[in-house]
Amino acid sequence: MEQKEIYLLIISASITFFVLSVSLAALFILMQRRRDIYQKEINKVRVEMVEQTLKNISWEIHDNIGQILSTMNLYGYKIHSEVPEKFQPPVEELQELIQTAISEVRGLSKSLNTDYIKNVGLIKSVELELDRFKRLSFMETEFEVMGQPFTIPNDSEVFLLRILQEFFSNTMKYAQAKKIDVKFIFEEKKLEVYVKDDGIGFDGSNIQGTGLLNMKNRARLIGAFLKLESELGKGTNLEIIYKRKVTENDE
Amino acid sequence: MAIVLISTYIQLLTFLLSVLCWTKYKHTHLRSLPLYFGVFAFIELFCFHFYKHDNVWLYNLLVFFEVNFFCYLFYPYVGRSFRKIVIALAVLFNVLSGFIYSFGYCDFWNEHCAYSYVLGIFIILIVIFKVLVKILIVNSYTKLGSSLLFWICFGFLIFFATSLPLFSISNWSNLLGEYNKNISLLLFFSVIISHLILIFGFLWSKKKYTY
Repeated sequence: MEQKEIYLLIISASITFFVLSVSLAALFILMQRRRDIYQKEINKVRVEMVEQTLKNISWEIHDNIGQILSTMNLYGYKIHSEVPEKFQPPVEELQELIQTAISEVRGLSKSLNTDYIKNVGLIKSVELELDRFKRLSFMETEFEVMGQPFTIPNDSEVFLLRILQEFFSNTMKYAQAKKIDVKFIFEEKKLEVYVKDDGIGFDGSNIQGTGLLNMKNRARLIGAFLKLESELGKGTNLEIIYKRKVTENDE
Repeated sequence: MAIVLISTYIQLLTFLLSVLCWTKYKHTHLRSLPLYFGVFAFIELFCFHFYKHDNVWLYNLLVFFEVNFFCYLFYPYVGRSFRKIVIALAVLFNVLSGFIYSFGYCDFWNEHCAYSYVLGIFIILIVIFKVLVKILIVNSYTKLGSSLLFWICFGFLIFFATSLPLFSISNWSNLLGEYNKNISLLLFFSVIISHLILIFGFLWSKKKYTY
């Protein structure tokens, strides 16, 4: 073989391999994108199903357990007026407990009901959620809203609240925290949410829970950036950055 | 000359970036990447400035380091079923290359050993291809653009695939004569392109979520 022929052979082989490598990488990116779209659809349907289930549970709690408690409350009044005076203090205590149970059941029903969240908005829903923790003496809470709140589409509000609820739930279950701080910073084009607990924290590199994965998926579905950082003994920090979307109100 | 200079110093730049961006990937198995880039940047600079001639043994030695390093680096990413094959490929490479040098098929000190290079590159390409497939299967719902592993694989895939035909020739001067320089240019070009991809990967990739 001539020198020139060998040269041309090597050049053409190298170029061919180069083009093949680039095409392969491009193909990978393309396949991944299609897969992402498909995955996103599946996740959306899954989240919608969860929301519908929560809504049904919320109705059940409100209409069923709520009604029973209200009836018990009415009976309480009746008993209170009919029993001798020495039995009245325990009956009053019982009535107070029923009242607490009614307000807790209502609060729980509201926090589960998507329609209620959509009506009252994200800030009010978070306030209600944190008030509930305070009332039940789970932990101290602090909620701060900075900047001018803007309209967030209903679905995004529900997803943001669900992410926060997941975080709160994990804090209550595992963190042994005494205090939780929530901060909303509304800027012109984004909403920054910072949540911090003073609990025992966890080793960030080892945790792969379903709840945490759900938070991540929900954030992705609304195009938000989510970062969860934790270190043993140093509490847990959650950061969500939600980019403002143009809504009908804005237009 | 300029392209030689660029291709040498771009390796130093990649090494520096791999160190600067280390916090992005220190919690992953890629954390040993600066070692690879550091060794290559140092040797390339050393050979470029002080040891221009008779340095072929150094590159023959580097192939051993390179193949074993890539097998180690990508070992956790190839999937459980393929891990034993990666070990087997690394052992096969070491044994065969040792055999080639020991029995005089190639002169380790004075000759670029094409057999060892081609075998090594084939093994690296197989491992990289397996990692790419694994990324596609496992890393569902993740943006490839922000994955450092993807850019590392892509950068090295470009370099090794493009340079495979070049490294298959033992003696460029005898075989190619006047075309030797043009072939060298192609090699430098592939180094630059691959390192640009790696640099882009270091800059563009994001730290994975910490859970």
